[in-house]
This record gives sequence, structure tokens and C-alpha cells, in this order.
Amino acid sequence: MNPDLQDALIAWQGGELPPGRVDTLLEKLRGDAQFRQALATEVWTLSLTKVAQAPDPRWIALHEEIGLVDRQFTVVDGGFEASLMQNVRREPLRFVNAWWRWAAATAAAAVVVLSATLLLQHSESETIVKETLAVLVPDSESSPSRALSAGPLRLADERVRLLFTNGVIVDIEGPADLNLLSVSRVICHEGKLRTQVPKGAEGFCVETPRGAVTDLGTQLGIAVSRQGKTDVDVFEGQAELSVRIPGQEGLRTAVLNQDDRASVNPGTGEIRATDQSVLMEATEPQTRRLRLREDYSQRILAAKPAHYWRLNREVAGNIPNEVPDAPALVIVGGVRVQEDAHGFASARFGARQQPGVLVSEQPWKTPAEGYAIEFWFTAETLDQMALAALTTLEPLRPHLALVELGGRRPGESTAAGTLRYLLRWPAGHRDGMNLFSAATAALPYQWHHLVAQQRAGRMEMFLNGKSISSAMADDSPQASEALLQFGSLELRPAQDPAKLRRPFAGRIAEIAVYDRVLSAAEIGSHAASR
Amino acid sequence: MLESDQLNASLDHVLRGQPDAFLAIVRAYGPGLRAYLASQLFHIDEVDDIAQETFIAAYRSLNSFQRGHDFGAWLRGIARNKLLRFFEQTNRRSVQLENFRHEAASLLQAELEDTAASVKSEQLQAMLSCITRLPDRIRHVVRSLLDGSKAAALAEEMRTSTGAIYQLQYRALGMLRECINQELAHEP
Repeated sequence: MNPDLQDALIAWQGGELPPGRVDTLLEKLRGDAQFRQALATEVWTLSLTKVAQAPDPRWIALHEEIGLVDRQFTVVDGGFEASLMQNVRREPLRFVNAWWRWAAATAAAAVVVLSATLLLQHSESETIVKETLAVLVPDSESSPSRALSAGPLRLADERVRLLFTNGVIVDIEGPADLNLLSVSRVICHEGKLRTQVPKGAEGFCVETPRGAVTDLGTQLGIAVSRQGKTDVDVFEGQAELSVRIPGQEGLRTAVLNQDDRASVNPGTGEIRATDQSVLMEATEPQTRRLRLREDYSQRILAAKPAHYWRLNREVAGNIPNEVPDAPALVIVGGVRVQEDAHGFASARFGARQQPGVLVSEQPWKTPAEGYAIEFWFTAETLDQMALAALTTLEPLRPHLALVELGGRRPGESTAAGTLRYLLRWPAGHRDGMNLFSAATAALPYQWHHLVAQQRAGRMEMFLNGKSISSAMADDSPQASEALLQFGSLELRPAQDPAKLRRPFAGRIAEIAVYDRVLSAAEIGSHAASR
Repeated sequence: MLESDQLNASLDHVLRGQPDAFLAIVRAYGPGLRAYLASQLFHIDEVDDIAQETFIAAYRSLNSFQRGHDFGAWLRGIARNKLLRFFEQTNRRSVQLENFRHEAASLLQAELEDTAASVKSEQLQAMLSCITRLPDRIRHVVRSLLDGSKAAALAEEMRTSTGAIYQLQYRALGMLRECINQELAHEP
């Protein structure tokens, strides 16, 4: 120990020293380069401890300076109008008539006023810019999913699925030339589209040359040729087709019902019934392959988990535990152990159509000294979905811990691909300490390795082997009896599986639960086992 | 921190009218800048205020940044000016204890700048992980983020002397550095 260094550190922090000592230390600092370097090292370590433990800052003034907060209040959802106007300005006139630009801008302005009004009625945290509009999932494994914000999208001869953050699904067959304006508006210059618009997202609009197709809660096909000819085919529900009459201010509209087909001639503004089918099969994207090393299970067992459910086999409605004498996971509702297209077996969760949950057959006594929950998952939607939950045995199943996907981080508006790890002590239905990943950290149709762990209230979340967030909870959880659940917010006694909340859509594999926290090296090693 | 081509791409986006791209720069350089400021300020809210002011000033004068130079060093240059003004405005020099910090910070400027320039973003993550692994008593001291008054209160709480608290903290800093080095060496 270097007494001078220690005293200098005390003085640095405002601590008291004997009279004259401060001057001596300053004198030494002036003349001793080694001493300066040593103190700089101590000071730097100290500042790292401070920043590492501090919450993330909220820099509203900075957001205002760069125009984001202003846009939230005065413009629109995700800077929509700004991006719309920028994008419209970039549109070649030969494709999109000026009238449509003004129509789009007027529509945007209407949304602006409405959004601004709504936003001002809500808390500040709901007013942050939506940066990601959709996630693009390729039909092949050649490239991973990626987040899209407003802007052009051009495709060669390929098929992709766009998952919009409002639940709209658009399958696209190239060659295609589009421009994403918002979660409810896309310009299509060329290409074949199939839209699926869920309840609540009605009004999704595809602008076409001189016209627009507004999906009123349907499944429909739209084909736009390079010359601007537009064909529409309503597979289910209803759509509104509109086209501007050349040389006039008039706008011709037609409502199409299920099985109606129509063709629009942008040169004349005519809408004609047609036999032309725009049938395009819905793209079913394949999750990218997860190929774990052959010794993966041995590695996990060597780490001595309290529970290890591989989720690759089902025995009499249960998922067996690989740890001898440890309880199985009971399958409730729409969960099935299935192989994917690559032959990898895992638990498939059926989302809202067939909600399901896996729940531990017997309670688990969470150790006071900490625990870790580790698993692989791949999602198939951008919905808010529970991955893992730790609840007490009380009938309303208050949460001790929760790991979920697609929840909005306060202050951010993009929820797509955001992971959340919540810790509550004592168990409850509200409040607690949260860790969040960055938005789009865990995109769908890709496998991700996740570890959520805590020791003495110190929470850590690791994604794909890297630490992505950590914090100190207000209280350290004590040992308690808990139920482990996977794929839903909770399962209450005698609950109808159809009413499960935040059901997961996707696959989960290789769940391991430990009576201790894992080291960063162990986590890195497990995540790298593919 | 961003690779040079990533930084240039973000700067291009901002200068072409996509201000959102500046947030990527803030995310990349924010932790390092905060750590740098925290080395010279007691309170984290002061750190964050000046960090924010620094980013605002940087955003306004982005055109003056010379491509190819160290963006982090450029930010710290702006931050230093902000710090000087902050110390002047708050008349910190009149407080004897802060006088040491202020003068020492001035003497350590080159060393702190060198250390800040070599910091990796992984170090902050590793720091978090390492703090959790400290023995309980030492971790408690580190979590308490000492200043002069807190050290005395903590000593009373832990039924020991203020000097012993500072000794624990000094030991903790050494342990943390060692742990971070090990963590970074094991990064897969």
C-alpha cells in the first residue's frame, strides 16, 4: 500500500487529512510523474465504479437540440411527417404524382395533430421517436433479420417478410421498389405484396402510382408493374382502392370485398374488375439454423444446474428434467416439442392463436445467494411476449422475476426486439428493478442465447454471451418457494390456457437454471457452443 | 467507441439531415465521456449535465471536427472547456477540499487524457460484473460512492474508522482493476 497514494485519493474525494498534508501531496504531484500516473489510475478506476453503477442518463435537452423531442410533439409518430416529406421529395415524379404527395402530407398532418394531442395527454416517456418501423425477415438463410426505419427498400428476385411494429405483416416478392414511410404507410413503385392487417392496425395504406390501396383489416395482394399498372386481389375482408383521374382533382374510389379483383390504369384513372389473380402465397420465414455442439448438454451438466430441460423430447405431456430426481416441466396449452426445418427439436409456442406455457411440476426454492436462468430462444413476432417468469405460489402468482421480449423501455418508443429482465422483492404485480437491452437486440427468426441472473440484488443480463445490462436492485431477494414458468406471464390455478397473458410465439430450447450466478467466461463459453 | 468508418458514416448521416444518427454517436461515446467527467466531478448529476452540454456543443459544431482525428479526444476537449466554466461559475476554488481536486485534476490532465483515450467500452461492462464479485464488506464500500461526509457516515454504520473505510476502498480499486483485466482477457 502506498500511503501517499491513498491519502491523495482521500483528498480527491474530499476527505479530511492532517494540516499541511494536502500541500505535500500537491507538491509531490507536481514533481513526480510516476505518482501522477498512479493517482490517475486510481482516479480513473474510481470514476468507472461511479459511472458503472449510475443509471443511464435521460438527456431531454440533447434530444430537443437535435430535433427529436420537438418532432415527437409537433410532428408525429417516429418523425413520420419529416421522413414522409423527405421521402416524398426524393420520389421520382414519373412514379408518384404530386397530388399524392400533398394527399400524403395532408394525411400525415392530420395524424400529426391527432398524435400531438394524444402525446401531450400522455407522459413524456411515451413521446420518444419510433426509430424502427419494421423487421425484415429474409425467406432464405443467406442473411439475418434486420431492423428497418423509414426509407427506401429495394429487392431483387427474392421474397421477404416485413413484420411491422404495429402487427402488420407484409410479404414481398421482388423485384420490388418500395419506400417505407411509417408503420401504416408504404409507397410501392414496383413489386408484389401480400398484406395481413390485424385488428387495431386497419387503415394500412399502400400508395401506388396515382392511387392508393387501404387495407381495412384484411389479407390482400397488390401487384404494381414497372409501368405503374396496379392489380389488387382481396383474399379476405375488405379494402378501399382509390385513384386520381388525370387532369382533374377528382378521386375515384371503390371498395373491394373478399374475392374481388380489380385493375387500375394510372394513365386513365380507370378501375376495372378483372380476373387477374395476384395470388401470392404467404411467405413462412424459416428460423436460422441453431446447431449446438454435440457436447453442449455435457457442458451444461458439468456446470451443475439445479434444473436442465433440454426441450427436445416430451414424455406423457411433460418435458423431462435432465437433472436426476429434479421435476419436469408440465406442458399447458399450445406448446409442442417439434423439429424445425433443420431437424432441431425444441419447444414451439403457439402465440395468441394457441397460447401455451411450460410450468415446473414442483416449486423451486430460489437460493438466497443468487441464481441464473439460461436458455436459447427465437421469436416469430414483434409482440410483447413473456419468455420466463418466476412467481410465488400465491393464487395470483405475483412475480419475483420476469424475462420478456418486445416490451417498451421507458423513454424509448421502439419495442421490437427489446429484452427486459425485471426483479421484484418482495414479489408483486407492479414496480421493481428493470434491465433492458437496446431496441432490436433480439430480432425474430434468429436464435439467441440469454442469461438472466442475480446475486444479492445485483442483476445481470447477457445476450449471446455478452453482458448487455446490469444494475443493483433496491432489495436483495431472499430464499423463497417459486414456480418457474416459460412462455407466458404466469399460469394461475385452473387458468384457461386460451387466456394466458403475453403468450410467446416462437421456440425455446435448452433451459438451464442454476443455484448460483454464472461467470462471464462460462456464459461466453455456453453461448459460443454453436 | 465507433470504428472510423462507422463514425464517418454516422457523421455523414447527421450532416445530410438525419439528426437521429447523432444518437448512435452519443451511445458510443457517452460512457467514456461520462467516466472522464466523473474523474473530475463528485456528483453524477453534474457529470450528466456537463456530458449533455458537451454533446450539444459537439452537435452544433460537428462541421469543425476534422475527419480522421480522435472523436473522443475532440469531445473531451469540449468537455474540458465546459468543466472550466463550471468550476468558475460554481466558485469551486473557494472550497479547500475541492481545491485539491481541482489543482490535482489540472496536474493529472495529461495522464487522465491518456487513460481516457485507451478506455474500452467493455471495461464498463466488466466493471459491473467485477463489483458484484467483491466480498460483501468491500462491495458495500464501493457501492456507497464515497465523498467526505459519506465516508464518515459509512464508518459509523460499519462500526469502523473513516481511515479503515478508505483503506477498504483503496483495496477494492486494486481488486477491480485486476478483475477487469482478467474479464477482458477471457472475452470470448
